[in-house]
Amino acid sequence: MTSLETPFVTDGDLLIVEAIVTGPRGTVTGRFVLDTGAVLTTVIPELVDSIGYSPRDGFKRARVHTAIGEQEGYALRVAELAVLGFTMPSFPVHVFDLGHEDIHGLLGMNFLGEFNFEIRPAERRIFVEKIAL
Amino acid sequence: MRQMSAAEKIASAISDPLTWAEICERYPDQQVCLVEIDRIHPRGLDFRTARVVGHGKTRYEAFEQGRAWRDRYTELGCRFTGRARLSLVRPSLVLDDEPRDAIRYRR
Repeated sequence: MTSLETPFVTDGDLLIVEAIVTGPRGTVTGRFVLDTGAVLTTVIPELVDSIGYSPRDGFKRARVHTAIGEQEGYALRVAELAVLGFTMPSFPVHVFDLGHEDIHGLLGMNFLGEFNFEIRPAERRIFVEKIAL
Repeated sequence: MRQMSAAEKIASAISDPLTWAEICERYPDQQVCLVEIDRIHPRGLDFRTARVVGHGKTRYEAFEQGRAWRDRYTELGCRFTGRARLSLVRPSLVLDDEPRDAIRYRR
């Protein structure tokens, strides 16, 4: 099986890739951190608002613990999430404000776990292949 | 002839294709909403040029202006032209009552 190659950029220790999120009112692209320590993929509220979602579209409310205390977030199925060359329809994401001016989401293991991937930090490239079923 | 509203005037502004350096110079320390992003790699973040359809201190401001261009552009992008000062909040999620399966991706 061939793997797809995608370049990434770094911001400090963060590896950042482009994600394309589609909703009822269009598509938006954002900078997502590749986060193997996150169970869920997270998207900031402004991004999902811009493609036509609101908290009313969420299927699950969730409490979120952060360094500054407990806050509310919610889970939502976006029409499509496309990252690293693969598009996942009806993809569940967690909507939460990550508090960073230039990061729009975390690409978590509910996406990455669907693939084999190899990160080559020196080359700033990631190779991804879909797991055969 | 009908006068344009303030919102329409803001919404009607679209830049020429600009490089990232030019965007940063023209809209310093702002959130910008981009269209016609001419990517160097089809899946990469770096681009040759893009056009700015919204800008402001917040993403909401930038997207609000960009929304007026939705009929013409289905894809919008958002970037910050300044140096990020805030650190990333790493959430740890607590699910109230449903099992983790509910948020797993189902093929």
